[in-house]
Amino acid sequence: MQNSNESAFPRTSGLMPTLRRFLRWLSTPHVFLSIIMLLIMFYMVIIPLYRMIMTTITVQDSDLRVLKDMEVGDFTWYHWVRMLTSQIAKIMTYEPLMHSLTISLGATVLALTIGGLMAWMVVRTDVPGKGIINILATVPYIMPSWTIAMAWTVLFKNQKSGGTPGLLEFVTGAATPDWLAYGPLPIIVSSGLHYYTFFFLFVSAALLSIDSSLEEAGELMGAGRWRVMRKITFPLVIPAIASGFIMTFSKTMGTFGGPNVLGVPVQYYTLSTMLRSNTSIGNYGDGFVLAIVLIMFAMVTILINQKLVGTRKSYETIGGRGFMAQKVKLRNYKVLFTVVVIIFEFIIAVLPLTLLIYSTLMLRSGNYSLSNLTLAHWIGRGDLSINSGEPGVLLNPRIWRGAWNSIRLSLFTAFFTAFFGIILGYSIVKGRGTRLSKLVEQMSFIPYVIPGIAFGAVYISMFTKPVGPIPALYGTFALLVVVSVAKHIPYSARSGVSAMLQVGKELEEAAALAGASPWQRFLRIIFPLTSTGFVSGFLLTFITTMRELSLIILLVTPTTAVLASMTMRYIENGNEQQADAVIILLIAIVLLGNFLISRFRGGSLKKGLGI
Amino acid sequence: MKKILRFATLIILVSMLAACAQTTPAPVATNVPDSSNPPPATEVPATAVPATVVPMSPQEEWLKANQLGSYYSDVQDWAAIEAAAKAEGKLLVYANTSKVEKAAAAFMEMYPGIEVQAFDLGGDDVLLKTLEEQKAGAYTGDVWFSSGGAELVGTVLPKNYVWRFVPDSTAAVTPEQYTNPLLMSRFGTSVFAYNSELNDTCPISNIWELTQPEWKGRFFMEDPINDASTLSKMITIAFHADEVKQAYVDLYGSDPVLDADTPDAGWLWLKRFAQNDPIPEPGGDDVDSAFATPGMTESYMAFTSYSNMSDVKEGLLAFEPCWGLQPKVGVQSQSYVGILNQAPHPNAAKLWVKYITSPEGRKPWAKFGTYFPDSTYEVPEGQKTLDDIFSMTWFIAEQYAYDNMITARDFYLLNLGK
Repeated sequence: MQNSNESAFPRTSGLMPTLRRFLRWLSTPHVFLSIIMLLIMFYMVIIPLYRMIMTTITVQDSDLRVLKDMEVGDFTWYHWVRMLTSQIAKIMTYEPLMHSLTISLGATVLALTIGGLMAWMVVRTDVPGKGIINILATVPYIMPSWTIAMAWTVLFKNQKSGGTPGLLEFVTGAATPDWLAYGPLPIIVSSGLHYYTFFFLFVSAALLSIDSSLEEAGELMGAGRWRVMRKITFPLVIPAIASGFIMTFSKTMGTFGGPNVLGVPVQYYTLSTMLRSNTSIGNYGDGFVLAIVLIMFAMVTILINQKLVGTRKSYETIGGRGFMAQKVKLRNYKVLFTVVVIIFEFIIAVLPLTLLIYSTLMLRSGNYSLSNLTLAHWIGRGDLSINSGEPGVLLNPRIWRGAWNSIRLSLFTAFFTAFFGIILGYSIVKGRGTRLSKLVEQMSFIPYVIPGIAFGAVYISMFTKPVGPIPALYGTFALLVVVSVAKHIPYSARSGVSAMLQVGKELEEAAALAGASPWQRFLRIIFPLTSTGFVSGFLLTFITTMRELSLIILLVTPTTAVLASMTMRYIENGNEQQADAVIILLIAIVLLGNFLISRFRGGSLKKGLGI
Repeated sequence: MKKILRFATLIILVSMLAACAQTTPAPVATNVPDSSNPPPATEVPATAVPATVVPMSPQEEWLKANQLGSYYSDVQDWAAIEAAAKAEGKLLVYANTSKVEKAAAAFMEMYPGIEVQAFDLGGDDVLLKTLEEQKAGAYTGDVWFSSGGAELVGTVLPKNYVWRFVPDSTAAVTPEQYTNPLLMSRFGTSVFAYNSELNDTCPISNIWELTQPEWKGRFFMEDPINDASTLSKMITIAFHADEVKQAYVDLYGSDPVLDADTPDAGWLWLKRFAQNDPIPEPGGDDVDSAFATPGMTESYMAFTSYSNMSDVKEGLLAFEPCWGLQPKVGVQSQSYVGILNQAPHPNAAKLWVKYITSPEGRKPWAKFGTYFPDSTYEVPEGQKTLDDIFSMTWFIAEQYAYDNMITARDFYLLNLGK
């Protein structure tokens, strides 16, 4: 080893010191890890993005209808001019953009309020039933995003979209106003209720790692409880809130289900519905212009976030001192808070779940009478008069294979993503302020805002032929893992950063004084201390991968089909009850996985989530 | 430790560079065994081959071996095909219907030894998957068993991504026009329909009535902004400008006055229709429950599928197509079955085409409201005959829809609810 090293760099004066400095810089753990991650992300993220951009500025087959005397592959500004300045631009780009921004901001604020409050209550107060709150808090997020939107229409729909009236109109006899039935308000509420899990997970993890002696010191100095909250607790969880903000904001920007159900009847189109409109008619040039607009807005958000967190350095909350978390006693308010939380959880988790389960027991959808109850959708043998002879979900071997695929995919993806997340968190936080760190952070965020379907389409063409050491992966299970990891890197990068920001410098410094190398410090101190972040990232990715659909729909083959894709087809074929049964199966698997992971990690998930 | 690291870094960097430098793309894998002798190792392939012997492209080889494309033969040796199919042992079908799995199970019983993977992707994704696989040269799927439509005619067929194949047994019972450009497997009909619980007969007799104030915001359809197939059907109506114009004259007694942005009466109808604020719904099921749920008090109209009448028979919905609507009651669309270009299991694919167009194979689809091109097929009691329904509807204008897809979408969006 020594020899080969020497011979590779013959000692020549002048060049050597520079080279040595370079190598020393390179062998700093965060620099080395940053570069590795940059290379991985370059392949997994930048190349797909580059292909998308090229699509918007070159002539495609489908453009020849309009650009008659040009050839495929020629350079053109046609799509950009059309989408940004033509007559159609207002209705196709700017109005949907405003709608998307309105929804995203509204939903984020709502999710922050709910998620933050609940996290605080679970971690820092003596509210009873924490275990059950923790489990229920993740349920809305496990359910497909349109479930709450569908529940909303059941309650509030009016004659605008025909059919039978919603529950409210049925009870009051008066027509539900349009603003309550469709458009921005319902979309904001249903998205906010869906995505508050982000804030709940991040904020509770952050609160858990705050030493409450900091707050006690504030109280000793005579500050009131509200003042302590505002001046001490809140600033300390800012990184976690920033993470949650970014995730919720851009996820809502890209979401399709809610706006589709609640926006379409009043023609409240968003960027994501317009994007889908263009891809569904094969108009990728225009569609990708909208996708890039989406990406740019998400990049602006992350820049703001960097300004916010990057300039305030002291967020370290895991110090080398003793650690004790003091619970706030709710005293007289205990009952009130408990009741509020239980009612809230009931409305957003238990109620839709009950409706789902009930619907799987109905022979015909929409008929709520007892004589209509059946187990056929679960254990039916495939009677031709029911669902065109589809066997019950539990007796269908395809469902079992799909379930197994879903579990494998989620576990692999969650592991790699969480692992990358910690490395990314370390690279970004330790290098904070350097250009390299900023680059890594920005790059790690890009996949989040690339629409899943576009990602999938680009990946097919990238992995059909072997490139360098990477074999042709198309049609294999491995490709599903690769694309899922790429898409989910932002999730765990954020939780990695969030966790890493709270590890104090003095711990590493102490180890350095004791003679530990940077690598030992990373492996023996940083990594164990951030295992909460690792597990949080793991769990989040596990859940999202389970129900991710648009990303992998083009890459799955019959043998690699997953539960989510089966749900989709059941819905499209009108077998609503069986689709619901598969969703329940999916939720059950995630809950079980949640339970098992927490066992396996020897209770650190408990800490991570405060169960 | 540090030295090891430095060395590792160097190795990684160098190997990255090497990977980047490897610009020559690997040869596209083909599934046809290359019978010609490989060129000697010293020669550079392709350019060094003598000009007189033009080597066949892999695609040509595949077409020749399987008698498709320009090597097409009207007569097939089914014993040989079946034997070859068994040797292939596998088949991958891309479909837009879940019933394909039932058909696949029956197929496997009939031809044991061929493992069929019937993949119900939905029409849009069959198209997308086919395009991406073919563009990338990753020939994976064997059979296109999905809807036709604008994109098939506009992008898939001109590039020869799917090949026409008509088994002789099917050709014997199928009129020639239903085997081009690909063999049609079945027909679906989209119709203008009304709530039959609140009306004895259709409340309108002419499609121009849908542009009048009393129907403003009272018409449901799958969102044409998000559904290419519904959009294609609207374009098909605009395509038949003369008939649409005649309907206007019949209703109002005078010629329609065209606007600057409407070249003919067809587009004028589309404009007025969009301006009258038809309510879009996210999916076909939503359309039906919006206008035809039993027990409603308000009367609406909608554009829905004739085959959903089977739910009407069971009492789950209450609607009836506007039979006699001027100029036509709806639009006819078709599903195709064809063999994907350079499919890895071409013989099994042929066997599938033969099976799925036979009375046995089409059973899962033989329900009320669906039609087959097979002239011997008898429709269920109460269903219009194939000739009747064809005289009352337009055939989907695939090429015109493809050419005008984006224009029409923009046009519709600009006028929507204005």
